[in-house]
Amino acid sequence: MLIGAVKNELVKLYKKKRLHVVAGIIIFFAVLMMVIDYFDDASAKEKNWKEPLVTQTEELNNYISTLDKQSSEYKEMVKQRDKLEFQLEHDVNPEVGGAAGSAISSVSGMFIKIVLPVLIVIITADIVAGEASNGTLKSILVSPIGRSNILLSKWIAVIIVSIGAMLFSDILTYLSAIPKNGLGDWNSLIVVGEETLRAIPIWQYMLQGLLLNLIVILTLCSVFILISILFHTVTTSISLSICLVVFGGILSSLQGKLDLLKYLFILNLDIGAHLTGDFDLQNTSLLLSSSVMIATMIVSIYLSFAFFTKKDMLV
Amino acid sequence: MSLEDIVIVENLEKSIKGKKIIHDLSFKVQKGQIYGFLGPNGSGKTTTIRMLTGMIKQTSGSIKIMGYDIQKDFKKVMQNLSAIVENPALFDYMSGWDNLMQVVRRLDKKVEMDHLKWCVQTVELTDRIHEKVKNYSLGMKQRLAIAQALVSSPQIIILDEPTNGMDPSGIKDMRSLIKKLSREQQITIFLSSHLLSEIEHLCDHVLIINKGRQVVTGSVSDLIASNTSTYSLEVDPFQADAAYKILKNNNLEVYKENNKIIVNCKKEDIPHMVNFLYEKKIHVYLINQQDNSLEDYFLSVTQGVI
Repeated sequence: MLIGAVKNELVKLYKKKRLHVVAGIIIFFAVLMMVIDYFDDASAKEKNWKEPLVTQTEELNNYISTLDKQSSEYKEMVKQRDKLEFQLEHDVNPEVGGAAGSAISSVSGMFIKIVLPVLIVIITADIVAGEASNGTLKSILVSPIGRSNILLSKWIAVIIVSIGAMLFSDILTYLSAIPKNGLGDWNSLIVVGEETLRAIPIWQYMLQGLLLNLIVILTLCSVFILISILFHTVTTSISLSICLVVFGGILSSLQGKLDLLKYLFILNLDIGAHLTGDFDLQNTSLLLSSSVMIATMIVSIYLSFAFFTKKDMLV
Repeated sequence: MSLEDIVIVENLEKSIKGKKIIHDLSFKVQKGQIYGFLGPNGSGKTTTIRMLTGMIKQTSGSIKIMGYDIQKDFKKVMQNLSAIVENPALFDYMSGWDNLMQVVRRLDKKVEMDHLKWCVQTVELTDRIHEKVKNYSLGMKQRLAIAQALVSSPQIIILDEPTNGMDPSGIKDMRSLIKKLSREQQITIFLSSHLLSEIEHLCDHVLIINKGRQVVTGSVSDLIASNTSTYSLEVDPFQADAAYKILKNNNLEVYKENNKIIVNCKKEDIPHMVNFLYEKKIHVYLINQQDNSLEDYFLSVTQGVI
C-alpha cells in the first residue's frame, strides 16, 4: 500500500513534467560549466605545481606576522598555511587532474548551496499545497491508506527524486569533463580535516561528501514539505521556500557579525565543505553543522506529521 | 443496533473557531438505501460529509459506519466506503485510466483487471478512458470519479451534490447511474443535494438540514403523503356551488374560483373525495395539482417558517 502510494507520487511528478524540468535545469548547468571550463585557459595544469605553492606559503607567512594573534583572520590564515605546508610535505597536488578532479567540485559549493535547493523546491513545494488547492488531496484522504502513510509516501518520493537529481548532476559533471581533462585518477589524494590534516583518496572523499549531501537533501525535503503543508497555496509555498534559499546566501556573509546565525540550517547547506576545511561560517565544525541539519530535519518531520495527521482538512 | 444500520450518526456537532456550525445531528442509514441529505447551499451538508469521511473531526457526537468508529477505525471504515466530496477531484494532466490506477495503487488489496474494466464500463467511459482528463466534460469527470469510487467495491458511496453544474442530459445519465448502482450492486448511497426534485427522483429516505440543524427525517413517500397540496377540481359549472358546499361541510379547506373548486388536502384523500361527490351525483372531470407541495414544504422549512 505504501509502496503503491510512493509509486503514485512518482507517477504524478513524472506526468506533471516535474522530472523533465529538473533534468533540463541540471543538463543546462552541466553544459554551461562545460563551456566555461572550455574557455578557461587558466586551468591549464602546470607541470611543476610545487613552486607557486612555496611562494604562496611564504607570502602567507609574511602576512600572518602582521596579524593580531587573537583575531579570527589570524586563525584562518594559519589554517590555510598549514594546509599548503601539508600539501608540500606529503606531495599532494591541490589541483586534482582529470574528470575525477572535476567531479569532486560537485559535492560542495554552488551546486549544493543554490542549484540543488532550487531543484528540491521545484520538486517539493506543491507536493501538498498543490493537491490541497486543486482538491485532489481529498480523494487521497478519503481512502484506507491513512494520513501518515500519505505524507510518508510523499516524503519518500521527494527524497528519491532529489537523490536522483543530485547523482544525475554529479555523474553529468564527471562525464562532461572527460573530453577536455581526460578520465583522471580516483586514487589521487586530497587533503582533508579541520584540525588535524590527512590525505585521503578522492573516491573516499566523494563518498563522504555524498553522504553529507544526503543529510542536506533529507533536511531540505523535510523543511519544504512542512512549508507545503502549512501554506495551502502553491504560490506562497514556492515563494517562501525560494526566499529561504536566497536569504541563506545573504545571511551567510553576516555570520561574522552575528555568531548565532550558524545555528540556522539554511546556512549549513555546504556541509561537505567542512571536509576540506573550506566551510563558509566560522566557529563551527562538521559535528555542529550536521547536528543543526539533523535537528532541523527531525523538528520539520515531527511538525509535518503532527499538522498533517491532526488537522481538519478543508480542501 | 440493527445489522442493517450501515451508518449511525449520534448527536453530531461541529464548531469551527468557536462557532457551532452543525447542531446535534442524529440519523441512521440502512443497507441498500439511497439516503437523501437535503438542504440549501451553506446549510452544513459538505461539513457533515467531511466528518463522515474523516476529513475533519467532529467536536462531539459519534459516527459509526459498518459498526466502526470513523475516528478510531478510519482504515476499516474506508475499506468499505468511497466518497466524492464536492466536485470530482482528478489529476487532469493524466488520462482517465491513470487516474483509476492511482486509486488501485493506494488500496491494500489486489484489484482484478476485469473489475477495473467493469468500473469503466459501468460509468460508460470505455471509449474515452485513455484520453487526458482535462478534455473531459464535467459529467464525464463526475462519472470517472464514480468509477474511482467503485474500484474498491465499497458497501457505501457518499456523493456530494453529484449533479451540480451539469446539463440536463448529464443529470439524467447521472441519476440513472446512481439508481443502477443501488439496484444492481446493492450499494448503499448517501447523496446530498440542494434540489428537492433530485431527492424525490432518487431517494427512499431523506434528512432535511438547515443552518446546521436537522429539520426533518423520514421516508420520502411518507413525507409526500403527509403533506397537503392544492388541487383544482373541474366539475359541471352548474354543480360547482353544490360541490363547494358539500366539501365545505366535510371540513375540507376549499375555495371556489370561477367554476373551479380549489381544495387543500392530502393526496390520499382525493379518491374518497371523488367518490363522495360521485355519490352525490356530481361528476369530477379533471383534477390538477396546483403546486408541488414538497417543494413548498422544503422552502418553508428551510426558510424557517415551520
